[in-house]
Amino acid sequence: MNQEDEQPQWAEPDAKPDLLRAIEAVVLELANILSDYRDAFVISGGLALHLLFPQRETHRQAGTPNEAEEEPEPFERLTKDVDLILNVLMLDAMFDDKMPAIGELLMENHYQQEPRRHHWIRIVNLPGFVKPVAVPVEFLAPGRFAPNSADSAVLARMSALQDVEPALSVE
Amino acid sequence: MLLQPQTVILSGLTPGMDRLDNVPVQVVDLAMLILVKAIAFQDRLRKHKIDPEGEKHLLQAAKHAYDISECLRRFPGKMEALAERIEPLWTQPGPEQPIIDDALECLRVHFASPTAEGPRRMVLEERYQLDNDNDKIVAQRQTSRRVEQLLRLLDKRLEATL
Repeated sequence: MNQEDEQPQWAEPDAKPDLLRAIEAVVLELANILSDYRDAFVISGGLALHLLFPQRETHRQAGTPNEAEEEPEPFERLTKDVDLILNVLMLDAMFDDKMPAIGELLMENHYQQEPRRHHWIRIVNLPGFVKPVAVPVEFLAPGRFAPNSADSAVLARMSALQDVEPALSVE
Repeated sequence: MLLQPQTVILSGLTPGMDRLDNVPVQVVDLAMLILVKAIAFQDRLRKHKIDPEGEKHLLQAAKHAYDISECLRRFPGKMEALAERIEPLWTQPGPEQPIIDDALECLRVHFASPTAEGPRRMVLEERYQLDNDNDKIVAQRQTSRRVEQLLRLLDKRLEATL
């Protein structure tokens, strides 16, 4: 099932914590620069909650009074990074050497690969930030592609072609 | 696909200060996220048993338990709506069914009691920020109560279809 589900607008930027603004900016940028691969990755983790139900988190800066009846949710309790689950089979099948690889697109857009190679970092410094925010981006792949499994070669080939090395999850 | 992705439309500023509007992105379905995290939690406990040196698997287990707890707490329409979402995938034969069976069993074994591994691990996650032991106990009870309720609702729905 793939539901088209337009979400309400996020709160005014000035009312949000820097981490939340930085993560939203990175998600938007990733969705844009990886648009050719749109159907081949899914946002997961705590960030999924925020994207699906953004009205539940706090949009206030720390220390300002809260007049709402229900205590708002500090965004930091939800997530501090962006988790992307890759559809390895789709990426492997759709590889086209005329299209830039995912790793290439990330590097062109100022994402830095960490020594743990499934992690990338995007430094974000939007107007009004107290200091630049480093947003970690982690790529994940289903556990069925684990080393020594029947499908491990597919993951190895996709990783080499797309220049990303996803960590294994269990999905 | 198990994750049952939904499309969300985003607008706003990128880190490069470009204004973008109506950009679609796929987001995992929350009900599926809970189930997948339940399997991931059990997997981390299993790996810790095999490799008990260090804390990395327990830290990841705490992260999964925390995410499960937050998704349960915030699920719109509470456990009734979650059961309604899971039931058709669980009861209709399909590629997802055995995985959902496993995931529900993980929830039953590891989360359906306040002293089970799930609730005990979730309060160790750094995002929880609960210093008070009483608050931790309350949070553990609330999570296990939600899981119990979810499983009870699913069992009832299953009985009704038999």
